[in-house]
Amino acid sequence: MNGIFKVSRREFLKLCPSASAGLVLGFSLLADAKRVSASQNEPFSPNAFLSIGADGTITIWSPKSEMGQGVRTALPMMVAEELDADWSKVAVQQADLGAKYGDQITGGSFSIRGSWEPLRNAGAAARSMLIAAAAAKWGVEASTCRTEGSVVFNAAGKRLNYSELASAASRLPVPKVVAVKDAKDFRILGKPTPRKDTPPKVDGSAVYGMDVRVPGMLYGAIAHCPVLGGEVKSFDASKAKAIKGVRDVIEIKRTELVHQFSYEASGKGHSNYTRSGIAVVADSTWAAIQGRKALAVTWDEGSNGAVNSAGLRENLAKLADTPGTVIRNDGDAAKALDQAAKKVTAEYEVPFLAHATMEPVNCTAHVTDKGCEIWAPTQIPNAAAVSIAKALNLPNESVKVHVTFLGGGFGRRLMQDYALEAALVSKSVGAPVKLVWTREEDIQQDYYRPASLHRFQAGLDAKGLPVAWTHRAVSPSISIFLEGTAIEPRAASEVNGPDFPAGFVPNFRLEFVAAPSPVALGYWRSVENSSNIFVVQSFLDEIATASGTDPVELRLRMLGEPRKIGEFNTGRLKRVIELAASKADWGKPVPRRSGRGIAAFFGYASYVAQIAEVSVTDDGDVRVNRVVCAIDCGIAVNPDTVRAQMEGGIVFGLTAALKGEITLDRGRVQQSNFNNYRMLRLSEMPKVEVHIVPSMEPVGGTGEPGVPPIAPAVANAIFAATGKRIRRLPIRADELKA
Amino acid sequence: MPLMKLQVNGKSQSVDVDPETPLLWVLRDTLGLTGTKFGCGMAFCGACTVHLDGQAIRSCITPVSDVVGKKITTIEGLSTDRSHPVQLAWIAEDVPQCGYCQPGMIMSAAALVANNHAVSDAEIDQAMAGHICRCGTYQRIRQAIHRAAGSTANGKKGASR
Repeated sequence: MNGIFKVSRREFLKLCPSASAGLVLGFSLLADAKRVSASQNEPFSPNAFLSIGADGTITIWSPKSEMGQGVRTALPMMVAEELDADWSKVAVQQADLGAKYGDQITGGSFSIRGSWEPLRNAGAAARSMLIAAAAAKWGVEASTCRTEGSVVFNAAGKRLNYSELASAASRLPVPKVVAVKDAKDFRILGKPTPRKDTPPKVDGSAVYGMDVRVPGMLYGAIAHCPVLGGEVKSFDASKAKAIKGVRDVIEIKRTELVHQFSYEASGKGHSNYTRSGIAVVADSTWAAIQGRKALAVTWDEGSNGAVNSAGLRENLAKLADTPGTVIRNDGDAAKALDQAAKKVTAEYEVPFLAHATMEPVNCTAHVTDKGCEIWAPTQIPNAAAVSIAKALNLPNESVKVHVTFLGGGFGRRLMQDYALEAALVSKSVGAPVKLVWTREEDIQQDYYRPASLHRFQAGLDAKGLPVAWTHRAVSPSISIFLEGTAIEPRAASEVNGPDFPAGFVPNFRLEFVAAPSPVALGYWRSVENSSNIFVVQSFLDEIATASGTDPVELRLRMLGEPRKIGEFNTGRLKRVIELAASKADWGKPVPRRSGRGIAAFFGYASYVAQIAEVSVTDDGDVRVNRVVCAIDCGIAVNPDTVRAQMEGGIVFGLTAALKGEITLDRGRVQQSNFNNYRMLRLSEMPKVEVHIVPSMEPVGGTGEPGVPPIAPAVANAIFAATGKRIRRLPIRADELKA
Repeated sequence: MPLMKLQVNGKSQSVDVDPETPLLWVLRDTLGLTGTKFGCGMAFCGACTVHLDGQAIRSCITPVSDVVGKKITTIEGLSTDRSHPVQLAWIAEDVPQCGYCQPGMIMSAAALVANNHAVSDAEIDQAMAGHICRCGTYQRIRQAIHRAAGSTANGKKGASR
């Protein structure tokens, strides 16, 4: 069973009305690594289609959202390769499938990994059916035919275009077994390939959620309670309504969302709700924004009106003195620490972070008697559809989601609060509404990367290698926030329990303390890795310093002989570390107050090492001059996209390391726009060199793996430059003065 | 309310809006030119950049009444067929990821290279200082501007790549 099914033309046109269908195959892209096995047990429910039209167009109908990661190029590459298609004729259409069509999530650096097998199989199956159709027409053996550029050729030199064969092929059975190409025969995969979505992105024609225009559409802006979890007590809309163009002012109540992944209501005590607020609906965005400004709202601040960052930090520190959930406990860490030749201790802290996608949060919704239609920049259309259906008491199938281009996702668009909000506003005013959050709302009403505190102890043996390692992580829990207090915190997934250096230190103890938090939490590009790799890779550097070992050497020695531990191949991690070190002139002299630092990461089935080269002024200002990045992501489907994802991941992580911090005062997020939630700018961009390890290993993810190593690489480089250890992010110049 | 006459991408347009309305929203909501993006509303991010008489300006803080009688060019008007040297360079370097900030970036870059002088890295830093790209395409933006200007890092004319 290869999971590929023929889909009738009639059925397909219901799903994808703009399709020109000759041959249509349906299949399932995999949703995420953890749920692969679960989805295999479900009855067949395709979430993607391959159609070959009578006009020769080859279309992949995919639910994967394009948020910059390059799926609209990588997915066609896989099909074009196996189908021997004319590259210019292969395109992706966003499939707006609806809730019954299973997983449609874009996240977890999984879109390309999860498409690799299904899409290549589908391409190969279609090719085999087209050949069979041609062979039947010619009365020759299929094995005597070959394909190239969307054409079948036979031994006599006759040719038939795929467009001429699609209809006949659709009447043939899907082959039970399909053979995909050997990697050595790839003509498209693994070759740097220009992105198909670049042209519309340089002339303004790409349509993002923000750009949607629907006949009769009104424009909405919304003011949420500035205090975490607070609600509307009363409001006076008269001033807002006096503004020309303002049509209506309505209260939006806190409304329950379904869980992102199960599409069911979360458990007891979860916090997965839209926020309470007042929406202003107007004839233009500007009038709506002016109306929002003119609102007079009295807020019920609830219980969080006194919350501030100092208090939250103190609470983390207090909890760090309490034992947590033991995630891993190898040997006897306490005893080994007592007996160690040398001890190293350190405590690290990282702040809350906002996503701040360039396209502010927005959604267009139209609720009618019959149902609801939304146009959304979303990473998870199904969660939007089911949340809306539940809240408006509609059947799931009556909510239609059109996914636009996303002006950045980074995990923010896995939350569907804004889609439900837009639907509530549209229902209330009885017209299609484009609801746009101001940048201030976008930053102050986000679902934040959790702040956390990490306490470490290590004991070294006489050779300077760690023989004991304890790590107690204290953090608010994303899983509790989303799923409720009834569950055990998914502690292992909040701190990467099974990962390096677990398994490499004989006496190892990792604990997680779930901190209660009033702050809304969410998935932020690389999620827990963004914190945990910083603290672990920084602490490794402290061990290297304590033992007088070179930081690269320490990592290589700890990794030992190349071997596989579960999915983790130590040899591949060693290789990226060695490659980065050799390309980055590791060990060569640097000027005064300059230095290099390394960090390495395994995750999302990819291996990344980064070496940062920094200089620190006497005033403490850090300049990252150069970053050398080595990645082994298995087969690099589109090497130019892999490079772009590394460049982008480095900027994302560097922005956080140098500038990123969300703080709270009186229950309110203090940052509001890019003047005080600052981003790396072009002038601060280091020279980034990406080296891709040639590999035939299975495809790994690239969207997230570039992010985690950069903060510790820079922090370790700062130590090399100044002798000062960064134990709290973001990096502060006043702590680095000469 | 007085009808205001605007020159947008070589076309004369009359709009009936509050004179204080930022040009950004007139372009996007009134004229349907959605290539110019809303990012921050405070001139912090550059996503809304357009040309006013050839100069790059932030349309999100420019009242429409200030631009009456001036020549406005948006990303849609830079060329009809993506043939502007900056657009060609952007395609050649495959700059965009999510792409949301790119119209603004391209408009600032086009203003920078307009007089066909070779640009230095320092000039690029300065011209692009008001722009944010959250996807982190800065390195490619620099390369693309050099390509469009036919210049090298030190500001000399020459084969850029």
